[in-house]
Amino acid sequence: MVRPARTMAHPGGDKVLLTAWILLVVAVGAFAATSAWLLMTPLIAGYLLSVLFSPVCEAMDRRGINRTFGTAAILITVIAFLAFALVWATPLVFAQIQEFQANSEAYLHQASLRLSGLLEFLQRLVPPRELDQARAFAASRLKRQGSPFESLQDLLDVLPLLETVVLSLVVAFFLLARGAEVRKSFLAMIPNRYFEMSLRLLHRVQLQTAAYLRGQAMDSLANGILITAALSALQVPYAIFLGAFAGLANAIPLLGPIAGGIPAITLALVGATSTPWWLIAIVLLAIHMLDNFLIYPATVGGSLHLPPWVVILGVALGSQLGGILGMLLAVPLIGLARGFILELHDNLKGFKIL
Amino acid sequence: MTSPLWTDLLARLRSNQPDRLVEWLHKIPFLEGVHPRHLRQIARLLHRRTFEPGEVVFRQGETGSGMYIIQTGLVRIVSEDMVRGEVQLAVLEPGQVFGEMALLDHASRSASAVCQTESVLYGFFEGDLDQLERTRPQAAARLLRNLGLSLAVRLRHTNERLHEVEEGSARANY
Repeated sequence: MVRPARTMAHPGGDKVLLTAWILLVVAVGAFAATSAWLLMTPLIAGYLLSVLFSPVCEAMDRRGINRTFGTAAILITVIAFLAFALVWATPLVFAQIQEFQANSEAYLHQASLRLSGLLEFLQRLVPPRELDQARAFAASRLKRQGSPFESLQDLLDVLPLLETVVLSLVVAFFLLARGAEVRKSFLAMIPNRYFEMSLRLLHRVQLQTAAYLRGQAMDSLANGILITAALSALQVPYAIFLGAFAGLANAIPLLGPIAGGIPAITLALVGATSTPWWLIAIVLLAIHMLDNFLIYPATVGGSLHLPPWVVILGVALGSQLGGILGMLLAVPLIGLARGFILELHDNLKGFKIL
Repeated sequence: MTSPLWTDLLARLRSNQPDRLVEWLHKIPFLEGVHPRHLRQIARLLHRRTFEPGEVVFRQGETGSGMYIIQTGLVRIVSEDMVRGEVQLAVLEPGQVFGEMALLDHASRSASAVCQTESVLYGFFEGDLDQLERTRPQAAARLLRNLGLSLAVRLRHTNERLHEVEEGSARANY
């Protein structure tokens, strides 16, 4: 028989070591996730950026361009694009917000007329004090939306976002330029017995993640463009914002397409456009069908295969942990975690560790 | 203060200097015909692993995902079955390659590899081949061609052995 390796001399000890490793990784992951969500956001965003741009980086590498210079060139282009978009979009955004603020009273009036029955029902259901508080909160938010930079404090509130963007770009740069070396150094620490399995697992999970994320980004972009074009054609106001929101929301299975369509239909219901709400709903449904049968299979391919209750629970948990970004990231992360666990199980069996 | 980025850039600028690993790879028959520039890229992808005497590199029946090149030490290739027990198929020396079939089919290992002495091996796996295909397709093509040649030689050798066994068996029956 094959002489057992030194590392296999005490199989029980190996299992203890493996369990200790898994516990350590889970503990570190849980600690990082719960106590440093602020740090996690740029890390996740940086990783997503690096996955999205790695084909461009590899194409430059293929043409003999130094990887560090190539990565720097890509990120400088991205920053220039963002800066241009910001300069071009800021007046447009402010104009749209001011328009929304100017019309908000009319929208609220229209909404209250339409929803008077519902409000009566709510008054019976919810104590009047809570309802008044909710109404005051909604009014204050609407007022604030009209003038985003009223005070220095408001301007300072934007700084953490800028910090996150810069940090995300730094993380993306580091991962694109030196990610392979970091990965190799990490793998060098793994004992021989688990090395090949870990390498294979990492490779497979990385392939799945990259394919899913790139596919989902393409799908969201296609949806965003289609919905923006359709809403513009239907003369719905704020079409760009509504399209962008619907495109992003599309990343959430089941709930996303519904959530993405609600603002446009609500605007039609409160009289912001002369287009009937049912026509907008039909157009959005048609785009959703087009996405389901044509765009999604071509871009993302396979589904995440998550049960509906997991999606709903994941979105709720994501919103609690990280707001809108958490909602958007929760379901893909759960799907990827599921893929990782399945792949880990297959590898542990394949390498006869389980 | 040393900046890793500048260190990296300077290292890349100096990368024309021949590397010891690249020089060694250049002498490996399996990598014959691979351009030195591409060898440098392959050298960056290789994983250096050190094994103790008697330590198993991989076991027969385990999932395979790549190949190993022996830098130092001896590696025994052994096959195990229920009837004959352990059968030593070969003892491989520095410069030789094993496990390369798994690079193509990712199937179970057909034999076990055990280090006879303390050994330093360089591993090259499916992820590394994917990376090479994406960044240096010419190098990947050359490597796959060499891999095909190596497997063809082995198949020819196996056919010859089979033929000899069949002839021996026929003579014995006669």
